[in-house]
Amino acid sequence: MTQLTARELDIQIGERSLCRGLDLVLAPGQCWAVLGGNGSGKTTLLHTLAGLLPHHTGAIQLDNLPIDTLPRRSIAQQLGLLLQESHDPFPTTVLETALSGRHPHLGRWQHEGEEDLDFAREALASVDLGEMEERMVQTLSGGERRRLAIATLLTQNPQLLLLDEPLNHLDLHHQQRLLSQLRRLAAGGKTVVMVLHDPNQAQRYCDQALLLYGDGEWESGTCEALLTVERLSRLYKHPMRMLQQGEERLFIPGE
Amino acid sequence: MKTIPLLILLILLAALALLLALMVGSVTVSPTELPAILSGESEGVAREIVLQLRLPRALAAFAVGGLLALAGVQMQVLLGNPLADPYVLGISGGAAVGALLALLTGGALLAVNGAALGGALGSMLLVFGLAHGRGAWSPTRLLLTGVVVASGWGAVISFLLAVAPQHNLPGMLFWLMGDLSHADQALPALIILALGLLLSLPQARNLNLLARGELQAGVLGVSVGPLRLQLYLLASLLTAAAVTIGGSIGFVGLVVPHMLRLLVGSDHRLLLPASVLSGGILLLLADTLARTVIAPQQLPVGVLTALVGVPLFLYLLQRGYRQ
Repeated sequence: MTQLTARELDIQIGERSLCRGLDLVLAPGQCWAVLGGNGSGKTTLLHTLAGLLPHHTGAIQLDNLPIDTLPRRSIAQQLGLLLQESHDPFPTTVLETALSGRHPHLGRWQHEGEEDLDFAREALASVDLGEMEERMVQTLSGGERRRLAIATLLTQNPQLLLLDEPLNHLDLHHQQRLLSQLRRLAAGGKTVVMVLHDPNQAQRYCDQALLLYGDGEWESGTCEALLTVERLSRLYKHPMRMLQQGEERLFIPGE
Repeated sequence: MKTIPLLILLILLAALALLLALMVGSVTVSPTELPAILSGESEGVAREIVLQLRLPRALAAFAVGGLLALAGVQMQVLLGNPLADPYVLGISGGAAVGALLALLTGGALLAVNGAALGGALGSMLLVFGLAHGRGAWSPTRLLLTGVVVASGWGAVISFLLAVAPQHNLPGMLFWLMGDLSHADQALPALIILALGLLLSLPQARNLNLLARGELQAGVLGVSVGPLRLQLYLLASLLTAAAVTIGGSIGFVGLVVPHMLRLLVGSDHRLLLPASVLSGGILLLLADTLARTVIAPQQLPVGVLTALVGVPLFLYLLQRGYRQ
């Protein structure tokens, strides 16, 4: 099964070192939450793991092969990334956009077939866009566009799913729906890594967590062990409190 | 699959536009005479005019229109900007400075064409070098570099026009507005057009993704760097070829890709060949009008492309995107 590993990886923006000596093994069946304040390097980390940004130290391997030696196409067959923003300057339909997820699986001259259409339609239905196939993307609301980007990732159907703030613009219902869906994908053997901003959602839906403190320090482990009032207060540079409700712990920000 | 019927329709329209261009002009050839002339059964002035003058010019017009529309599609994707056209990065400006200098010094047609080509390629390398200089190449940086270089050329053009002797001005202005009256060699342009299309078609699906941003394209498996470079070089060379033959004919490269996006959507597998055909048809019709509306005087074809294209485009824009 496909596994993504990072060893001794440094994440830098300009001269600033956001994360030093990162060791990470992203294995099938795991669901990861990446937590950290604004500008702590979460997006840069995801882009680097996806091979979109060069890394100057350390190693990233996809199935034991260095990711910077793999062609983009074969990376895209195994690894998908939901970007924080999507751009659609030219008129396209919802279905066409979702179908673009099949790109890495199609030969140069191959057209999308029935099977690809099935992938796209199923993905659109799963994010509640099944009725909007023929709509122009430009006419969608922010939340609908976000769900379309997610449907494109699901149509791509990679083994590894990296998601940069997947809940952006989503209403409460679609947030919970997406988180459950991602957890089911992980339970089915995919690897899911998502940047989240709510430690409660992280501990409810993810089993592993990566905390990026933004000053070079990082910690990883199970959500249960890692998510504590002390760590979260340091992570967000804001005092946190914990409420115990039966089995469930709830973290809430203090004054 | 709506691709094939649409392309067949466009090919038929192109053939009709070509026949029209062969028939009308100072000597009108009726549809019944045309087969005899083309097959070589009839002799005389009409045959000379149709085969020696009208046919090469019509084919050149078609090729230039196709080149501009194809380069327009590519520039818009490269820059991620629907307002981009083949001239936005200063290629036509460089060509114009070259051509005007040659016209000023009394150069022959060949010298003017050579100078235009030299100017276009020089400008292309200049923008490429500057945009690549230091730091990352981003579409915005490329666009800004190109726009600024184009303004520079604009100033040089104004200067040349200001200091040019009276008797040189009409020729210079005609060149600037785009003029096909000296386009008597169609074959090189048609070959370049065919090569350009053949080289872009394999990238059609990659262009669909690049249109949605370099990151998104990279995520879905496109090797963005090489594709960007190919697009830049190809679009620039196609534009250079077009302006060398026809001067800076406006409007075709901006509006044909847009009209088609409004009508048939943004799938480049259809958009690339359809743009070539539609651009060719538009310029062929415009050129036929340019040499007939106030005959015997000829209008610069650039005036006609805008006069035909503006209302057509505004109508389509009003009508909205395809449903």
